Amino acid sequence: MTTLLMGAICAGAGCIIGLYAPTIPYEYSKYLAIAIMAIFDSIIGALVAKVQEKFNINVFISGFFLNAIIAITFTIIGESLDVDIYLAAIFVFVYRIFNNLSVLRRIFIEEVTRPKNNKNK
Amino acid sequence: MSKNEMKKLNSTQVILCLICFLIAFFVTVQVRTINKSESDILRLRTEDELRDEVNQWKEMYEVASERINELNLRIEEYRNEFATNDDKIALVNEELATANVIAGLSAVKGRGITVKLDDTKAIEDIWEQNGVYDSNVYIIHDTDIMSVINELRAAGAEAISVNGQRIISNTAIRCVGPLIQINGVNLSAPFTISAIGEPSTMESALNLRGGVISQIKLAKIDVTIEKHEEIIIPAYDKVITYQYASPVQEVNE
Repeated sequence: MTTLLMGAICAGAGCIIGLYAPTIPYEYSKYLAIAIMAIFDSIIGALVAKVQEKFNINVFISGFFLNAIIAITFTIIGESLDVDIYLAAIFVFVYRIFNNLSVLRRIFIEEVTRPKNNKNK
Repeated sequence: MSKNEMKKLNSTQVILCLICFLIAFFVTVQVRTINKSESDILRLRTEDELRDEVNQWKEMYEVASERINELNLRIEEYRNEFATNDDKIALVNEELATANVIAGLSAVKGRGITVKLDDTKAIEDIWEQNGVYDSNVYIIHDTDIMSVINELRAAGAEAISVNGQRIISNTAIRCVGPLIQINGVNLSAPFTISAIGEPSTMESALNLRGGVISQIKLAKIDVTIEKHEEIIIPAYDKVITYQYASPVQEVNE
C-alpha cells in the first residue's frame, strides 16, 4: 500500500516537474518517444512477472535501461541509414505490451473464475 | 531476517518510485513538445507550399513576358513594313516613339546625374557617440528615395530610374522590410538614382540648404552625386494594363 502511494506521489512530482521543464527540440522527440515505449514495456513486463511470482528486481532494472538504450541506438543508426528502424522498435514494444497484457488478462480471469467454480461445486 | 527483508523492500520501493517519476516526467515533456511542434510544422508546410506557388507563378510570368517580347518584335516588323509604304503611318510612328519615351516604354539616353545613396559605414562612430545604434533610424527608407525623385522631377528630370527600374507615372515605391520595392521588384542598398536632365540644375536643387540631401544626411546616409555626359535609362520592362481608366471623349464646341 505504501509502495503504491509513494509511486503515485513520485508520478505526480514527475508530472509537475515535466510541466515546468523546458521542451526538447522536435528532432529529439522521436528518441524520447522510443524511451517511453521501452519503459512502458518494462513496466508491463514487470507486472506480469510479479503476478507469476518470477519477478527479479535486477532483471527488471537491467531490462529497463538496456531496452531504452538499445532502442535509441537503433533509432540513431536508422536515422543515419535513412531507414525507419524506430518503427520496428516501437512495433516490438507494442507487440510485447499486448502479449503481456493478454497474459495478465488470462491470469486475472482464471483467478476470478476459479473460486466461483469451487463454490458451485 | 525481517530486517533484511525490510531493507530489500526499501531499495525496490526507491527504484519503483524513481521509475514512476521518470515515466511521468518523460510523458509530460513529450506531450508538451509535440503540442508545441505541431503548430510549427503546420506553419512550415504552408510556407513551403506558398513558396512553390510563387515559383510557379514566376515561371509562368517569365514565359509570358518572353511571349510578349516576341509579339512586340513582330508588331515592330509589321509597322516598319507599313511605314516604308505610307507617309502618314511614318508620322504616326514618330508620334508613337515620342509617346513611348514619355511613358517610359523605351530606353533613353542623355546628359544627367546619378545620386548614390548607401547605408552608413560609420556604424562604430555612431555607436561610440550615442551608445546605441538604432538601425531603423540610419537605413535608407522609401521616403528618402521618393523625396529625391520628387526633387529631381521638380528640377526638370525627364527620365528617372532607380537601380535599373524605370520610374513611370504609376510606379509605386514602398518599404518591404529591409528592402525597397519599386515596380514590384525588391531592391537593396546601395540605391543609384539616375536622372536625365540638366545636370547642374538638378544637382543644385538637391544640394539646396535645408533641402533633400541635407535632410537625408541627418540620418548619416552616404550620398554621392555625379554628373555624367551620357546616361542610359532602361525602359519600363513590365506590361501596363489599364483596366478601369478609359479616355473621355471631350465634346468641344
